[in-house]
Amino acid sequence: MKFVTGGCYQGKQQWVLTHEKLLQSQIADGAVCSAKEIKDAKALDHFHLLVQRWMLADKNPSEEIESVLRSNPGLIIITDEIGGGIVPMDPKEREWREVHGRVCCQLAERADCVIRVIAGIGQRIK
Amino acid sequence: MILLVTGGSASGKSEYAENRALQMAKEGKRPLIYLAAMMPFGKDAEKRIERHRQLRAGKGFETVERYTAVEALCRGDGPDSEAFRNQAKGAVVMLECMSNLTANEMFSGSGNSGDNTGAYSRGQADRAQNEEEQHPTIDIRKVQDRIMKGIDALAEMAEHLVIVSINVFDEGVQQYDPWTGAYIQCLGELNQMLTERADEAVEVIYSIPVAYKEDVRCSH
Repeated sequence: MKFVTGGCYQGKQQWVLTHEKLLQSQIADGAVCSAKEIKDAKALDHFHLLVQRWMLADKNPSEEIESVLRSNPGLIIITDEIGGGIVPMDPKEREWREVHGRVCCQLAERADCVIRVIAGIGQRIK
Repeated sequence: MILLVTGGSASGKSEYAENRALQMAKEGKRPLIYLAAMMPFGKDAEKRIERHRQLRAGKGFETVERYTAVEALCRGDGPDSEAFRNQAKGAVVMLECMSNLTANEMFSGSGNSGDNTGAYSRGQADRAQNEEEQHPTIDIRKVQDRIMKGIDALAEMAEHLVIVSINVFDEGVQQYDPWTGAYIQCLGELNQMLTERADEAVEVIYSIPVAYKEDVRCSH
């Protein structure tokens, strides 16, 4: 599994398309995709939004992503780093940042390779 | 040495900082002190503090709580200061977190430091909010100066100082009220000062340390 992280609009998806030689159609969108689409995808973008969807559905994101990786162990997971601003007033948003951050630590630990993308440039940090 | 550890919320920076502090303490057989700056008020703070306690459990940290005026803690005449000096001299001290220390120094006004606390007390803030809502008159320089004097006093006393700070800078300041904007500026500039003081500075990205200032004494 590969894990790609970075701020929003930093060219993470484009980096994956170019360096992994993927087509747009092989990337599932965490904002809207179904469980089956994730299973069949080469990469999963907007993982932070998928975490939010899981939380809204009262699912445990840490267990959900492990289950995804059991059926799709080579998946490339792309996420926005959402913990780099002022801690939000809204408790739900705080909870999301917290849960998302911990799941990302779990993914970074599990990943064979972690890439951080800034302004289109990917840096391998693991 | 001074090690600065930064990272976003829930990035794993605390755990990394703890492990580094622990390693320094073990290598030099030195006592390990955790200087906690977070005020235990509110459910969220309590939860966070409890989580950090669990993380530190069994690692041999002695916890000292101090929400403001670190310099007074290090150099004061009172029994607290004397006790702290005895503990911290030659020890490994981990200070967590600059976000709390900065917020406390800027906004608390009722900390444990005597008359110099809280450059901007609640009452002052309320008054000024009516008078000049768009232009807060928080003296950021004064806050930074007080905090850095505390850092210097700690660094002088401790053998190693591990400082945890946070990244709150990736969403800009435009969408926030002037108070929050001033806070972001104050902390951002403090991080620059701390990085300059530090022998080593590391950003933790989801538990992965990425050094942005290397300790030359350790390089090969």
